[in-house]
Amino acid sequence: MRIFFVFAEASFRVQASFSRQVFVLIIGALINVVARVAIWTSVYDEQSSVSGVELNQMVTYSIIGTCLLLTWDSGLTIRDLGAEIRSGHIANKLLLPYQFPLFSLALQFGARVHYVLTTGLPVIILVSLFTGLLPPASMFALGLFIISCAISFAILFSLSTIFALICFWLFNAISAELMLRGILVLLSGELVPLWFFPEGLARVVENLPFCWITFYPMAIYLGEIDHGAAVLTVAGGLIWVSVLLSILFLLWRRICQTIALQGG
Amino acid sequence: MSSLIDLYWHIFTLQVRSRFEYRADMVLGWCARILSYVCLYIAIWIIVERFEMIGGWVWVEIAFLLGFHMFAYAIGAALTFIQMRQLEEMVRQGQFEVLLVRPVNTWAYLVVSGLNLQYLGHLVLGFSLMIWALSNLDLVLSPLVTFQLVFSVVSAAMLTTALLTMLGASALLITRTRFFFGLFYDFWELGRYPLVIFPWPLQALLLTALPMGYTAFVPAAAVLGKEVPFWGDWASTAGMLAGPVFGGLAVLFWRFCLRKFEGVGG
Repeated sequence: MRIFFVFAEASFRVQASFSRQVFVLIIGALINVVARVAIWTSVYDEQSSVSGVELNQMVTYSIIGTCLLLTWDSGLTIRDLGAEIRSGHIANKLLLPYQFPLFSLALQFGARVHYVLTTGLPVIILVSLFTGLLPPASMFALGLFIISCAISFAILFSLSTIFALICFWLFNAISAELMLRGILVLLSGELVPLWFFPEGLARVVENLPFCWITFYPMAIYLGEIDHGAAVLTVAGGLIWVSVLLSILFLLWRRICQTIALQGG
Repeated sequence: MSSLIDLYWHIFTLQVRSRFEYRADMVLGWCARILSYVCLYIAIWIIVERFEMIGGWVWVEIAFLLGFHMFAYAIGAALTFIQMRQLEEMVRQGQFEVLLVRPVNTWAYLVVSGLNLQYLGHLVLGFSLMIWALSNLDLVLSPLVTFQLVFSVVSAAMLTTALLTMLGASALLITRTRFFFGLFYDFWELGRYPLVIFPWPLQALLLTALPMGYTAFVPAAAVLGKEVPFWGDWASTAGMLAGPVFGGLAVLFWRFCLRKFEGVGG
């Protein structure tokens, strides 16, 4: 565990060394938030509530969803690993005295914490000065939301690393990244929450792991899921985390047994 | 002149042949790109389906906007995106100087030798969406409207090429430009929505200093006869001229950067 935090801290420090990058990231996050808030403000027009969801709830959904839950560039894991597979540098990772997925998790965790502290939270504070950001529905909702954020990160990490490991067979990281990005835009509730999905599609999507990335954490935050159901939702998320992590480690073990390195 | 065209054609065919050496990879790339954007478009369709319109645009009009946005971007980006993004790396490693001593136009060589066939997926998706929307819109495609549409697409593609060229050329002055490309795409993504939904300062920005409004919204709105802020009845002309104007600026900026380039690698 100590090694995990050492790597996470190292990753945090690496990110902190690119100070100019933070300015660009803040502008990027602001543009994303403004665009999403503008879309919802426009479509709500003068309606106060649609499908039981109010405009100020959608504004909050957009701001927190964009700044906290979607902050991690999951494609980066795929791109980095894809480049290492192509070049053959992945061999160095195989020599390390610990599991590569854990090493990767530590690096991503450090980078994510850095992003949230330097970009996500400042943008939330800045935007909340001009828009009506809603507080959590209750202290209980806040507690479950914090746990949901951890589940969101774990699922996003597992999915992106699984897609990255597929590059061992595809040798095409960009395609894997694009596929994951497309799936996440639609199925995680990143752009459109499940409340607005056609009923049949919503029933399918609500059982997939993707909606634990954005939709469920925000639904819990806004109090759209009652306490009992919220606890069950969090439990469902934990089950998905364990399933995806198991797939990830099985995949990694299989790769270690059958790997044929390219490049060099 | 004809020998120069022969040379560029030869480089282009070599590029195509080398890409088609990995056919499965190529097809997978096209499918992944199409899937990625189809998912996004379904998400936008869900919004329009539930709320009937975005900024006064119904689904078929939004589909036309999305198709136009994708198709024009794909043409421009196939010519410049990868090439201009890699310029930073070439400058840092001292490879750009090698291009400068070749007896060909540096920009043209970069464009032709790096032509990205992966954008074929974008082209097919954008074109299909535009054709579907046009066939479902109550729009008479008179010769004048067809002329306007074709020139607007060419202009929007030129604009993308110009903006990416200017971003890439910045590497000759400041070396590190990767972050600007990220920012470019943050603004570019705004172009797939009707501009009228954004606050007016952002609308003004997207029609002046960061002209993403002309990559799809202004020309598409002009073809569909929708309201265009600031331009009004001149929207069609603005849509067709934005590309050449920014293309001219990009040429001047490229030459300026070449003159100022001192080299940093080696």
